[in-house]
Amino acid sequence: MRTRSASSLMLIGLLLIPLTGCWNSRELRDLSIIGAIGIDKLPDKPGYKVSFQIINPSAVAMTGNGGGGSQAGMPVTVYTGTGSSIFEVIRKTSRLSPRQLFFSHIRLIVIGETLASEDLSHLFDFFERSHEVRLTTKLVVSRGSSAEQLLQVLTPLERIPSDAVYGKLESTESIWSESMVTGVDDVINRLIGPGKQLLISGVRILGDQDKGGEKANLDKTKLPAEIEIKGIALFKNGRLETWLDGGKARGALRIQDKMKSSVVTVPCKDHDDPAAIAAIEITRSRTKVKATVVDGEPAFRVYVREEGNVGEVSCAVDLSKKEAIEELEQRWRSKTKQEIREAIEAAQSRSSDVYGFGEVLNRSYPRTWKKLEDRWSEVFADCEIEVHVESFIRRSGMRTKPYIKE
Amino acid sequence: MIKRRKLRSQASQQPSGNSVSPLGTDLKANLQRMKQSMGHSNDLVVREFRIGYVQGDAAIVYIDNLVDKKMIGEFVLRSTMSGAAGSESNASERDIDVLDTIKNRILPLGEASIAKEWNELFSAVLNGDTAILVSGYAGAIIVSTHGGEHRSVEEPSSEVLIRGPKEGFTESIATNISLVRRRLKTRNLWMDGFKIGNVTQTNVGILYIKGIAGDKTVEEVKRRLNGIETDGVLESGIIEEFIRDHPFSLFPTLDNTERPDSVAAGLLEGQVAILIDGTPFVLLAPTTFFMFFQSPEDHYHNFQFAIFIRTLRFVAFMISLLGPSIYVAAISFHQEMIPTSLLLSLAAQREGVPFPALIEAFLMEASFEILREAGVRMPRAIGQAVSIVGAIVLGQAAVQAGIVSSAMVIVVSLTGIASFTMPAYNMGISIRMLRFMLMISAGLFGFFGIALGGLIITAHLCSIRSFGIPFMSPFAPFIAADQKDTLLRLPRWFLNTRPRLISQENTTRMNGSKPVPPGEAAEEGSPDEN
Repeated sequence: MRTRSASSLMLIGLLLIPLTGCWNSRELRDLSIIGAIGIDKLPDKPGYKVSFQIINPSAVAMTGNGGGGSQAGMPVTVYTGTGSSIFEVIRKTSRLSPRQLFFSHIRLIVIGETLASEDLSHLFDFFERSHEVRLTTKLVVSRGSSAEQLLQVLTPLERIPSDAVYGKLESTESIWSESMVTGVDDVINRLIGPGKQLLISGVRILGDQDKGGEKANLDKTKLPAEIEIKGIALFKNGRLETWLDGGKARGALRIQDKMKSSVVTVPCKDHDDPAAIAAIEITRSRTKVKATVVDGEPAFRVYVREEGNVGEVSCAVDLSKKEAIEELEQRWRSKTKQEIREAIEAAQSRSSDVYGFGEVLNRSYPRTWKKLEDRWSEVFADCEIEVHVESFIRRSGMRTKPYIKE
Repeated sequence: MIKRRKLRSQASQQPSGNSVSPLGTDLKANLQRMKQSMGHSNDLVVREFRIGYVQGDAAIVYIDNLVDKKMIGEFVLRSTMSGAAGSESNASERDIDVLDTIKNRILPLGEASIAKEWNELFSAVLNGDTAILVSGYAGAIIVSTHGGEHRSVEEPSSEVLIRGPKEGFTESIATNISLVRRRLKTRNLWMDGFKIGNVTQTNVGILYIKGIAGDKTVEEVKRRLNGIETDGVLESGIIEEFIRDHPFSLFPTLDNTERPDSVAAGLLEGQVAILIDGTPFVLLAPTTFFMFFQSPEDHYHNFQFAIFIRTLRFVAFMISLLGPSIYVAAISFHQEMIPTSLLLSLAAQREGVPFPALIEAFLMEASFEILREAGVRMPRAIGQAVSIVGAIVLGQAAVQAGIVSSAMVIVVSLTGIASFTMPAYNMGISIRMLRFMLMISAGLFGFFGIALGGLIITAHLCSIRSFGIPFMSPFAPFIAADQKDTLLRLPRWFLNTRPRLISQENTTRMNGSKPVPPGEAAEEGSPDEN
């Protein structure tokens, strides 16, 4: 009797297991893996137009089967929906997508320029709240086109466009340093941090915007439409104010101590021959920002210490001489200083403390910060900011004297 | 030597059901009774002759093919028939036990005794001994004349080593004992004999090193062996099932081996070996979980390699236990955990697969197990064909037909290969079965299910014991000194203690001495010596 009741109990327990019915299980076949999300503003009414770049695995993965990758279709499909909240659009898109949208592998969130120039500070709640979206997903602002258009552009080599953009972002950040990789978590930190404003890299379509989504885009060696990383968007209170490009963008990275490596071109002699230049590769750059308070007025000093190699010289200069090196260092120093000054001016003129000077002040002079916190934007615009640069050229490459004779 | 032990234990352990009945004095009647009780079997050989010593009738009885006939002719018949009758056959001496005299003076054989009861006589004859019955005396001289066909000592087939002795046990317990004794020349190697099985009367011997093996363990082994009540013992597995702890556990709590060097090593660590006549597999008790991961070769190669291989073995153990379940869980519950490019390639592969991942895994695992079982049972000549068909049909065609994804084939084959790295086959069996359970729980609950299954398995492993020793020792309970030869295998001179729990009595193995180059030896050695 005891064994019977025990065995029936066990049987009931075993029956409970299949009753769960694998409630959380999702087959891979039933998932649409999203590579990127684009968010645009609706033109006339409040709300969002959200585009999903869905990866077509069989076109991307190129699994054997006789190498028939070409007939597998486009590597991505873009679905677009509109609604007053992002979450709403996601669910609404089920009307278009045959499979459930799956967000855990999003690489990129593209924000349309029109949306960015209004207000995007309310945008990120969904991304933080959702358990599927990763906070490390990168953000970019589409420049000159809508996010939807940008998501449609097909890319060669890297078959998934979102991966392609991500790769471009990473490599420009690390070897050219004119753009920065910003994740959703960085943006949220900046939004809740004291007085700090947003900086998000820009992305634009180079060439014919309408051709990007066609398969023909991949059939040419020189693409009709390409995606290019271009500049950094400077925000004030969640609103896109201006774009930092070229030297300004590099200056912006320098102030934030995010300069990893880049190439700076400086004139190599005093004369104004534009062809006589020396290209210096920055190998190491460290930035420190220090705050001082004089009579209740905050002031800042930006210290930059950079090291580099001479990578290319197009005039006759003997780099085995100490003087020649010092002269180059001097020119490099003033170039760096100029880039940083420009970047600071761009921020100060928009009275947007994108580089986090306020946070430096808060750390060193918390009491002064408390007093200034409320009107920090105006105070920042008039702050005295000094720039000190030390530049060192360490190596001159495989040769000292160029073959060019004067 | 074996004989004596055997007989002694036999005396203390009467075969149940048979009452003691002594032999009669009438030779004819005795022989008649013997033939009758063996159903006039053809192979019972009765040879009557006149014995030289007492000048009377006598007979030898033996079973054909169990005995060494040359030995009988040479030493039993010749010596008893001729017998130096005249010289010592005084009237006074005739009265004292003639059987004893024959045994002591005439038979030039090592092992001989006198049986006075039928049971004793039968069991001796059935064991391959020869009985000499003399007319007028109620008793039989038992002479050990074991012989007959045996497999010779060969390389063990189930435990193959690159480096190490190539001898393996055979089906003869006497040979097996000799193989062990040759390795352990100590008088402390003690042996006890049992006869188990009412019908088979199988000789079972336990071997242990007195002073190293725990006395309690030895007592416990004896107690459990004595408690066995069965009609037949044909293999060590039968004994194992009778004496093991936790008979319902999936995990083996007794190790078995075909290698005399493994047995010797086990005895040196304080284990008790149980040898069973008729099988080359010897049981070792007590056994802990980690012993199943150790190969004798770990100690024969250099220690760096041993550590490398042991680590690899644990990794392979994890793969073979968890491989398919992790794959199933990740692919049907935790897609976010898989790197994007891998996920995409998996998704592309699974695009056409009609089954959910769990079913797919079950299909593949089941067919792999079928293939493996077929490979074991198949005659060797066909085996190759089976493996080709298996590889091509299951590997290639199933993927191309879109029934399974190639990733699943990879997972299953990796799992299969990993499971072959286990040195102990019986542990491999438990893993194979547990793998299916974990796959189900992974398919139902994802990683949560795997964690749950893992927890249950771990809790179970920690709760069981083998002859009083916690199965998970030296990890639960944690014994620092025993870590030297568990996951790691430190150099020989570090291993100066025996496993603490197994050899409770005498844990110091040696005063380890590191090899010293001759130059240094002179410097370091001299102060100690002088």
